[in-house]
Order: sequence, then structure tokens, then C-alpha cells
Amino acid sequence: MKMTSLILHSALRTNVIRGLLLCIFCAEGLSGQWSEPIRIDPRENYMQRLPHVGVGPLGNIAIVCNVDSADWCGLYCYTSTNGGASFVRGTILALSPPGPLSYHGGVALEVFYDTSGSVIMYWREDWGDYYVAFSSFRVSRSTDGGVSFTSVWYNQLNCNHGGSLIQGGGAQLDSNNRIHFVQDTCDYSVPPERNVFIYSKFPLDSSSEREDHGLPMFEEYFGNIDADLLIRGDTVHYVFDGYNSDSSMFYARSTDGGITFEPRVEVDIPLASYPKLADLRDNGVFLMYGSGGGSPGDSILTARVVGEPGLSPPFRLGPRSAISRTPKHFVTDSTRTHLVYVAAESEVGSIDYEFTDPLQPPVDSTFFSLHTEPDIVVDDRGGKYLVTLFDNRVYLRTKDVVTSVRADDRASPGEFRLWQNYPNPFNPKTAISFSVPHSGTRSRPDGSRVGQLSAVSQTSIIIYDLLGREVATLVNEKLEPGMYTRTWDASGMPSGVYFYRLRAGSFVNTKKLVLLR
Amino acid sequence: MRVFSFPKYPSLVAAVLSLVIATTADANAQGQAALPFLLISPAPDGNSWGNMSTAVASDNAITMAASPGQLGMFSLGNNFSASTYTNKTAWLPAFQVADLTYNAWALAAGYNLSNDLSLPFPVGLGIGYSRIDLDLGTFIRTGSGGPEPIGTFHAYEEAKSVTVGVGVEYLLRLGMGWAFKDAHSVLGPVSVTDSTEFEAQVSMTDFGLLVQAPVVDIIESVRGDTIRAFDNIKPQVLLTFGYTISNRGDSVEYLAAGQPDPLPRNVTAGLSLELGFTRKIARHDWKILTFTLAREAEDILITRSNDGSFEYQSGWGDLSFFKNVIGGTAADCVNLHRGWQLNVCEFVYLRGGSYAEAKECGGRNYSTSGFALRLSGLFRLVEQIAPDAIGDGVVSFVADHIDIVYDHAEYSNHQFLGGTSFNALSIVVR
Repeated sequence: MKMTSLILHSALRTNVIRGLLLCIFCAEGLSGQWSEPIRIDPRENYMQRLPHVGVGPLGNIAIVCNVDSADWCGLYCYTSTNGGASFVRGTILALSPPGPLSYHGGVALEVFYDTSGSVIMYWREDWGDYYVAFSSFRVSRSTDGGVSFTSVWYNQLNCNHGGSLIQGGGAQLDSNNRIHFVQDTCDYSVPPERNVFIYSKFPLDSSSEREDHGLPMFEEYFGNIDADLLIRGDTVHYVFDGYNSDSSMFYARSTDGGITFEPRVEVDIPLASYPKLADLRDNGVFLMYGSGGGSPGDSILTARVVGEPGLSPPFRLGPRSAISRTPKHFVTDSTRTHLVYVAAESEVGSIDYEFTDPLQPPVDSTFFSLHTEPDIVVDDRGGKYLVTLFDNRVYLRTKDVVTSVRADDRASPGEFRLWQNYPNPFNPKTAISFSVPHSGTRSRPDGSRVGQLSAVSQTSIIIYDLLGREVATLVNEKLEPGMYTRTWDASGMPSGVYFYRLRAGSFVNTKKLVLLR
Repeated sequence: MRVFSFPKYPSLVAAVLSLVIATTADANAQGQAALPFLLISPAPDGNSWGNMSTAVASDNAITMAASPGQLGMFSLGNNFSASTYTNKTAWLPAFQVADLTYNAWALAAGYNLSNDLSLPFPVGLGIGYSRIDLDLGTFIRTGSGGPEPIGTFHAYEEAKSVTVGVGVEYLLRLGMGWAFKDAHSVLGPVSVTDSTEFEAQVSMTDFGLLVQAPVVDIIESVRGDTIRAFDNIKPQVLLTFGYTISNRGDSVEYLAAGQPDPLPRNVTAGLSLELGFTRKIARHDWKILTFTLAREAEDILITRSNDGSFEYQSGWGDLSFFKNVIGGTAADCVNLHRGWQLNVCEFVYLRGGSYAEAKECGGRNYSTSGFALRLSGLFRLVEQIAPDAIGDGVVSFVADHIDIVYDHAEYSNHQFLGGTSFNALSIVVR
């Protein structure tokens, strides 16, 4: 793997390829919709693997990248609190040990923000050599904005096979901060060779590391498989394919939050790419895949709507005749869906398109090319964040991002701020963000109140009910300047209007929130 | 006022009281409830002396809505009452949430059947309607991803009540009333893509009982003569007991498959003592100077677990009449109202009081104060000082039959409730 990386590095560093890719990169995509690409780390020229991006409260951005230089490799988390204007690099994870013979690295699989504002990374740690590979899936959490991570869960898998074929599957956080994931692992040690497919979920409320060996087998299949999952309310959808062994794909779902799953549905169709699930909100859940001819270039992007029961007949999605690889997808609202996937024509491009009727071809498509498969997330206001790997550098592009929360305030708050809780209305948990400013702040020109501060401010946030009775204390401590997010769990409290009140020094602010059951 | 001979019906009155209290108190501990706005006392007069609404008689139609027993008592001597806030009350003013307001208005009508029927003792019937509105204002809607607004919604809660009451006067004055209440709560839209409102509609009932013992009248009745001094001055000793159980119903849910929350079912019991002097004039006992001390205790009849499950308590819950009302302690989540009122010539009323909440159940403690001005008292004063000043019969007619009342109440000594004020204008026709 390291050798492969070096070869690729050498090739991609040539001016010819770089120039070609830059032209492609900067061409049609810069139609005024997407921002200019922002390089995440100008110092780093040896990034590998697919970067992943997550968007959190206040528009904070976390990007996880694999760095694989000639001397070492590892996994970095970059975070931005100012809309991508600048990034802070956190502590490296899975740093390879000195010496040329062993391999050790990390592969980002997903990165999220939970409702309390913690950065949650789902990743895979690999080590071994060309002949024996070991992998450990891990979930790590950062409560300091992505600077340092603590492992909260892992399971180690031994895969005595050349290279690492353990893919990992989709992962998602539900509204209760439980992480759900599907893992594709392997058991080639005992014939016949098979893949074992694991589904698991657990809450992220533990501060200590939890080790899970021997997770129960969820599915087994012979040949390479890949999987995806999607959580919508209490329903967990999952899909996996049998790409290499036959032309089948399997779909199943759980309506009780992943406790029990309905019998899987087999879809006999020639696959050209791994299937993916997309939440189109009012338009339902889509199962998307490339289908068609025997080679990737012959396939077309196809979708099925997850219905009651089973799946709808397939229909073609999009105007382009062929795709390859995996469609990456995200949604913005009830009517517009955006897809990004690698196009077949060039093998280095993708398409981003929008359509108003999911059963009709898109009418408003834009296209720009990317080097690799991107990762994309969308925030609650429809802002899109796209990361790509290009010439061993990771770039961020944004679109439709609303920055009503001032980036400067988030990065270096100059005054006390109390933001609206989210979500609102809520049940039963909601997050409340606030900032504690640096000392020496000044009055605002508009005359609004500015805290009088010391470096450490005694801060309290108390919840009151409609009658003015104190019902919870979220914060009552001395805090350093910075951004904070606290979660109020209102389990056991009755529906109704409550107030949360921030008091810090002379600053007092109160906002309303609604608990609804 | 009619005075009946003592010996005939005391056991009957006692039996009625016992029966009514025993059969209407169906529950008993402490917990948070939905629709907490129903626990805000709307009484513009009672709020000035410790949120008193049960232990003192009132002819304010809004107060009758808060304690239905008032309506029965009202019907014995009055024909109509209407009351409205003159301005919406800013609720929790210290929070500086400008669009959070509380408002109330009410109508009540009563008739004493003994005016037309030959009855062994006066019986009055009353009916009333009231409406209470809590405008919760505009809320910012956010999604799960961050605090950026994605919309707004307007939330409000309201309660409409129809109250019926019956009053009986036989030595003691007894007023009973039942309120049939519909509460409607709208707390927000469902989602970004669905503008259906989150709302709850629930029906509930209240019951109230008020018993007055005009001690001097009773003594006069027993002795068979009158007690007078100076210029037809009569001492006033009025003992009043009140009992109210409110918000009896099932539960509240905002979603079809939501988690039910309890209604704020609560019980209130209180006692007041009025001392002073009345002057016997042609048609009425005119209260020249009286001073009233009152105390009420209330308990919310809910026990609630941390998981949200709940049960309604039976009976008086944790409320002990002797410990809380007589002893004057706020404990075991039983809250205490204390108040006083000084009446001068039925024209000026000065009031003060306090509300104390058990620490473990909210811990709110605040003071109340206020006053009332009554037109009938002014006219009666004019009638006594200068009977012919305005015109023959006009003054006495107004004094006897029409009353216009302005009430002001204010809370103080609480970080959030301090500054809350209630202002109401009422008209009473007798």
C-alpha cells in the first residue's frame, strides 16, 4: 500500500497531470454556485485516501484526512470555526511507528458532530504488512472541538489476507447520539471464504473506551460486499451488494431503531457500483446504484424508492448515460436532491445536479470535475460542504452556506453570546450553545451589551419553567473563553415552554424553548 | 340580610359540606404538569393579597372563574358581573420576553330565587363564562444541526370555562360551583415541511366551595336581638372557609402517539377572618372599616417519576388543613398564600400578602400588594355625607345597584416575577 502510494504520489506530482487536473477542477464547477476550493492544510502535500467532512453546530466544520508521506502516515482531524476560512489541525491518530517495514495508518470512514457539539469520528485503524493485515474499527470522540480525541469504542479484526479488504460500511448518528454502523469484515482463515457483515449500535454517552470483540454476525455473504445504512426516525434501512460474486443486492430495514430487522429483500440486478441509500425526506428513501452493462462505463445511475412493502421498479436517475464507482448523495430539502458521484466519462469527474421531481430527469444540472470521489454533507439550512482529494491535497468547497452566526465570533468570541437552542421544538434533548469571550472586549457600536470579562468567567445557564421555577442547571462553573455547547435532557419533564438564562458577569440573556411530546 | 332562627338546619349544612368535599376530592403528591398556565392565578383582586381566590368572597367575575364556589356565593346577592384586564399582563417581566403576555376576562350572572319563590331560605343560582389567554409569543425554530433559525412559529394557550354555581344562605352562607373548562394549547409546527400545528385540546372540571360564617349575625340570631353601638354601628366578624379543586381531567398529549403529561390538578383550601365595623343603613350593612386576614394552602395532586410516568393523588394530596392552613407552613410541596386587606368605607381597599413555595418544589417566594377602588363605596360615602348632592335617589340607586371597580395587583421581591402587575376593571350589578 505504501509503495502504491509512492507511485501515485510521483505520478500526480508531475506538472502535466497536475495542470490537467487543475483545469478540470476549475472548469465548469465554478459557475458561481460553489465556492473556490479552499486548501485545508497548505503545509501538507501527502494526503491520501478519501477525506470525510462533518458539519456541526454553528457551522463548525470537521474534516478527517489520511496523511501518508514517505516517512510516516496517520489520521488528522481539521476543524474550522469560521466557515472554512482557516483550519486547526488536531492531534494525529494512528501514527505509524518508525521504520520502513511495518504499516500503520488510519482510514476515515465518517465524521459527525453530535447534539452536544462533540466531534465523533468513525474510522479504521490498519496495521500489518502486505501479507497479514489487521484492522480495528474505532469510534473516537473529541470534546474540545477536534483537537484531541478519546477512543470510546473499538473492535479488532484479524484478516489474514493480502492487503486490507475490510471496507467498513455506512455509519450514522441518530437523534439520541447513538451511532449505528455496518461493517464488512472477512473470515478468510477458514474455508470457504466468506464475508461477515455486522450491524451494531451503541450510545455515545460513555467516557471510557468500550471494547467489542465478537460482535454478532448480522449477514454473511461470499465475495466482496459493501453496505450502507440510513436512519430516519426509528427506521434503520440497510443495503449491501454481492458485486463480485453475482448480481444481487439485498435490502432490509428495522422499524424499531435497529433492534430487529425485517427479512431482507433480494434484488437481482447487474450492479456496476455499490448501492447507496439517500433520504429524500418527503419523497421517501431512495436506493441508488449504478446498473447496466458488464463494465462500469456502461452503467447508468438507477434508483428505487423504498416503499411499503419492498422496492419500487427501477427508474433511471439523471441524464448521464454512465457512471462508475459509488454515488455519493445528500439532500437539502423536500424537493431538491443533490447527488455527487464519479462520472464514467473521464473517471476523474463527478456531477452535481438538482431536480425538483425525483421521478423525472433533472432539469437544472451543474457539472464540475473532481479527482476522486468526494464526501459531502449538508447542514440544516441547505448549506453544502464538499471535500475532495486532489493532487494529494484536500480541498473544501461550499455552496449555499449561510453564516448568520458570525465566523469571527465563533473563532474568537468578543462578547458573551447565547444562541437559540437546537433543535427547537425538541424532544427530549436539545443543545444550547454559548460563547465566553476573551478579556478586554469593548462595547459594540450598536450599544448592545458586552460582557466585562476576565479570562475565566463564572457562567451559569439555568432552565426555568413557565412559572419561573428553576428546573435544571446546565452550567454553573468558571469557564475559559471559547464556544461551548451543553445538552439539556428534558426526559420526564412535561411538554411546554421553558426558558434558558445565561448569566456571566454582568451579561444576562434569556431565550425561550419548547418541549413537545 | 335575612336572619333565620338557628336550630333548624345546622346538621344539614355540615352534612352537605362533608359530602361535597368527600365526593369531589378524588385524588393525592407532587410533580410537574403540562399546561402550567392554568396555575397562574388570574384573580385581579386576590393577586394583590397573596393570590387569594378561595378563602375570601369576591364579586369579580374573573376570580369566580378561578374558584367556582365564588359564583354560588355571588348569586345570593348580585345579578351581573363583568371583568376584564385593562392591559395584558407581561408575564415573567424580568426575562424581558416582550411578547409573553397573560390576559383574562369573564362574565357572571346570578339570581336569588327567593326574590320570586317562597323558599325556606335564600337560594341563588349563577352562571359564568371566562376566558384566559397566555400569548407565548414568537419562537425561533431550529433544526438539529445548529442554532441557525429555519423559521418561526407563534405559540399560545387559552382556557375557556363555563361555570355554574349555587348559593344557599341559612345562618351560614354556602356557595358551590362547578367549572367546565376547555384548554387549548398550540406550541409549534411539526416540521419544516409540515405546517401542522402542535396542539393539544383537553377538557377538565373545577369544583369550588365557599362557606361564610357571619359570626355576629349568628349570635344575634341565637340571642334574638341586635348588637349595636354608637350610631347604629355593628361589629363585623366574618369567618370564611374555601376549598377548590381544579383541572380535573385525564392528560395532555401534543402528538397522536406522544407521551401524555398530567394536567395541573391542584387543591386549595383556605381560611379568612374579617374583623371590623359595619353601619346599618337603610338597605345594607355598610362596611365602614374592616380588616381581613387570609391564608390559603395549595397542593398539586400529581406524583411523577423521572421517566415521565405519573399518577394523580387523591383527596387533599399532601395538604393538611391544620398543618398548612392553620399552622401556616409551606412544606411537602404545599404552597402557602398569606394576605391581608384593609377596607375603608367600601371605597378604598388596600391589600398586601405573600406567596411561599416549598423549596423542593420551586421555591418561589414573593410579595404582593395592591389596591381597589369601588364606585359604590364612593357613592355610599357621598350619600351619607351629602344625601342630596347629586340628585334625589341617583346616588342611592348607584350605590345600591351599580358598582365599578378598579383593581391593581403587583408582585415584588422575586427575581423574575417581581414587577408583574394585574389591572382590571369590573362592573357589578346587584
